[in-house]
Amino acid sequence: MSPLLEVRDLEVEVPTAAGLVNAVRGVSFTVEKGEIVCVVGESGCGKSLTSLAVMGLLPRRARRRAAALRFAGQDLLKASRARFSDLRGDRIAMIFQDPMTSLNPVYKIGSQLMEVYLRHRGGSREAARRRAIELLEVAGVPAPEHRLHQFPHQLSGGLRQRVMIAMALMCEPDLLIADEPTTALDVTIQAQVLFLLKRLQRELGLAVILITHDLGVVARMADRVIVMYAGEIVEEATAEELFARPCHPYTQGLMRCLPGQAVAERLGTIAGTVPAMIGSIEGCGFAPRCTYASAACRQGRMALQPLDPSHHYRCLLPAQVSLGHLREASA
Amino acid sequence: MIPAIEVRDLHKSYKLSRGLWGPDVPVQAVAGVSFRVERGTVLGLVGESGCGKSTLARLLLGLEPPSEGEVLIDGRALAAMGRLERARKVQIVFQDPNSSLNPRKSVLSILTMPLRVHGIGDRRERERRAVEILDHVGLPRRLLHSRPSALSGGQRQRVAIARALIVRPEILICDEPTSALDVSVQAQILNLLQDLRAAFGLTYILISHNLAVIEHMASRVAVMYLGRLVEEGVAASLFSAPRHPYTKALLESVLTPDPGLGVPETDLGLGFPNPMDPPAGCRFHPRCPEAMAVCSTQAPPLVPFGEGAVECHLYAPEAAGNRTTTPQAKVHHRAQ
Repeated sequence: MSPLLEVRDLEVEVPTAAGLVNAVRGVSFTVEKGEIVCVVGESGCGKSLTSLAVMGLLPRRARRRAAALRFAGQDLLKASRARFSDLRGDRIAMIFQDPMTSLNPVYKIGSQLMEVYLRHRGGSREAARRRAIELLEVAGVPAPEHRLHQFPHQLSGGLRQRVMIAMALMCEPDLLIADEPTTALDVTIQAQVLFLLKRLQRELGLAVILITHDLGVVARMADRVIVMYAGEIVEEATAEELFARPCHPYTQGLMRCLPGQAVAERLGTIAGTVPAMIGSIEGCGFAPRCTYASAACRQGRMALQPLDPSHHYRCLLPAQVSLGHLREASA
Repeated sequence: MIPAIEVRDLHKSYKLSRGLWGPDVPVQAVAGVSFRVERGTVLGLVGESGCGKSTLARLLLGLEPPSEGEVLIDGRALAAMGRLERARKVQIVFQDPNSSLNPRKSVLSILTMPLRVHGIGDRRERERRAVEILDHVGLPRRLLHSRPSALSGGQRQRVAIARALIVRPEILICDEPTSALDVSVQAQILNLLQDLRAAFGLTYILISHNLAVIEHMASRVAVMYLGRLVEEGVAASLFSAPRHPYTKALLESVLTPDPGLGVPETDLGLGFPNPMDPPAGCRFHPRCPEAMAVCSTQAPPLVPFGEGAVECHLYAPEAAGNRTTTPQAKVHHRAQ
């Protein structure tokens, strides 16, 4: 069976005043039905642009190239603007980090929820209203009928994020792209929202691309994890695999940065900063910050190499060597 | 020894306007908070948004007068100090350096501003101090003439920290200092804060909703719920044996990077508290999985525990007989 979403060799270039930014460089991945795929990486690594490219929502000046971009058997590369806007909100839905910027402040919650349904499914306003109430209930919003008449600013942050989730699910999408959906929320609310997403995955077979920089969220949510750095996938594995055997030096660095593992000790850090990605990048994008970098790392293009069929990483180091270093560092 | 900060029965209520004709409604943001912070230690302050953490920070800075109670810095009443004197004792670092730094000023100008306000040194001396503090926060000197827009998020937060420290305060309030930053940058800023505390003998109040950050940094932890401190104690013991049901729920909600554990289902429910109409009795009882009859009618007593205290009926001596569940019955993930 073909995957729900297939992205092959996606490139996104953004012309800026400083030069052409190669924001996404040859990203390939798939998402199966009912699978939660987490995309991890620092700001500017291209994780959000990747998802915007899938949604057909790239900024106007950005250029997209890909060998394949398929969703549920349809070729998105050939899709027109109109086709994309039929898909969005219907088969593919997206929730963003800050619900306040994606909810319209001057419309009531009810009319915003109903609009999605009326746009894609038509039917009566009454049917749309019933659907809105149903979905608010699913998303765990108390007193849903009352909420329909409220404006976004009258709700708390957690409730707004739930309204966003309800809105994303109005048409029972096959794929939900969630860009840092819980970063702005309190831990207790975060746990509740993530619990809800897990339940929807189980009950509706919803596939989720979850973009986050929180490794705690990744560990608890992901079936599969994609680690991105400087516009490239540097490692891809199942969640268990990635946390048990991180192979790329960047992934290892991220894991050492986590507080709460070795209390009262200094946290590990990754020296240097994310490269500007202007013009073409020669060699491994992480080499300037990498402790193990050698001359070979600064030439050509690194290939993704397999550790096993479900675990790939983009590094010249043999996996055993890099693992040995990690043990040393944590000992 | 005189603590660096002592807060006695602090209250703050605001009047919320309900439009032209409606009566103003009082909102109690801080409702009777007391604690002490010893010199050179870190108090971690946790709680949901809207629980009064930031109001408490404003009161400690003296930006607003409390409705009741008092704040003592080094044993002296904050209310008796002038604006400049207060600012030299207590400084703050905010969550978002993008909005707390003036985008039109250079780093040098941002750093020397507090010195100009306090009338410290001449132009030369102020520049010397700016360079010195820049070294302390680990920023290269070449950035002195850059604008904030030319800096990365982590560098901006370092500038914000440098600006707070340039007047050599004794107390630094860090309000979500790393929430807007990437993990690897977060680690750098936390290490920096630890180094600076040792170098300058600073006392921190660290406000964060990231409990891993609190556990890493804090010597003592205070848990706030709807304007009250519901539990306070030594960090290690609070994290290993939380007592208040709210503290337990908070710790259960923390997602440690352990694949396979899944997402915990908290029993907190969605009874989001309305600060304008706080519940009677214990403020947490509508969401509490261990609530008893007494919780909805009587305010809970403050029960001391070792070096800390918890405000909960479950631990009141007279409640021991009619408990439905034992407080330790629930096992949270960290214990596994």
